[in-house]
Amino acid sequence: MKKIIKKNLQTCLTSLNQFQEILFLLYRQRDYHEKIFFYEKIIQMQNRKILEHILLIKKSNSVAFNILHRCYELFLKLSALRYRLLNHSLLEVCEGELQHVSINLSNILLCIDIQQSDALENSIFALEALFQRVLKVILPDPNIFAFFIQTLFEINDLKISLQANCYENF
Amino acid sequence: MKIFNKIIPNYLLFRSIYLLLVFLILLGFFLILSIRPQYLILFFLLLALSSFFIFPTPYEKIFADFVVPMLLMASRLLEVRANALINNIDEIDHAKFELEEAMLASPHWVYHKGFNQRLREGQRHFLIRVEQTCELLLAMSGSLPTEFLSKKHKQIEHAISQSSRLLQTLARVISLKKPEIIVEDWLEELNEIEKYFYKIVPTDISIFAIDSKYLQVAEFIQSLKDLRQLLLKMVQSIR
Repeated sequence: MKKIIKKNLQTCLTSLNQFQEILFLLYRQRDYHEKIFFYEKIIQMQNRKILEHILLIKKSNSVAFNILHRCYELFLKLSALRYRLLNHSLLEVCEGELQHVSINLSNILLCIDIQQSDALENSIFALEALFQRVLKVILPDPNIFAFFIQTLFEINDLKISLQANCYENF
Repeated sequence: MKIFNKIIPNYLLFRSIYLLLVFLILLGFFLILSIRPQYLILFFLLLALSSFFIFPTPYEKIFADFVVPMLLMASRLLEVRANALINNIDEIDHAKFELEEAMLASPHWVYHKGFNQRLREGQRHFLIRVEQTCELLLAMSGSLPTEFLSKKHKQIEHAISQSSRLLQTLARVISLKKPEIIVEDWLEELNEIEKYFYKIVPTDISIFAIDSKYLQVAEFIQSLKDLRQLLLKMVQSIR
């Protein structure tokens, strides 16, 4: 039984990680609105995968379910930027910062680098600094990117609960 | 009859009856006129193929069967959210779960390459908007600060239930039923809520040093505006 729970948790975290990787890759591309069917197909398939895994966990571990579900909701919030922002090429200026955030998120979701807990926070701060300096001026509605950064901070706050309730099962 | 139709859809039933009749007629020819079996098989295959043209697969109806539950569950979640602006949020979790179950049954076959060319652009477009709407509703934050709600509670509640009603209307149109006619101003109310919000905000909300509750309210208003836009895009696509 424990093995099954552990496997479910791992697959769920892996699919959450794949979801965030797809999202951050999408933000680094400029052709989302031109190839919308292609990107949406990938996103929705991944979305479905996560839902399947999360609902499986609901039956076995309710505490882990609540945290992973919250994490999933926050990733959905992150994904809203794709249709809120009409010109993805504006994100070109923060390509490197977005990549760093994605890598640090991966490290946390795949529990590779859980000890270096400040890495994610630092990369979000770097993104925020760039937002205040450049993006705020060039984006038509800077608030939508502010929501994106705020969600990243919320994910960062969730890290401790993830560590306490999901990774301890590994 | 409805339950029977769910197990075996009409077009499959008619196709099966047609094929059975064809088979019986060909068998009769074989017994009476003693036609060669290879000709008989060839005839049968040709007639079997023709059944796809005589009784075509009603993709619109199948699509509607999958999408309507998503629209209805999204509408339900909005209704619950409107009621739970001040009260409990337990019901929201249940409504979210129902929406997630409906999302799992989303008709992903419209994205497949071989899918009917005449229909695929429209159905893909509509499905994308429906799925984005569901995502938006799942991600919407649950509670709002009371000082903001105390003044604008009624208007927010009305704006949410208005969207919920439009989702229900869309579900009716998709399932080929007569829709309810909604004649209301869609944007003024939201603009008013937004105006009020920016009046009470002390400074620029994108400075993260200020209280995060302002950002939370701003995101909630943005989500309502996004929802309206997605709904209007859906309405445009079925015109």
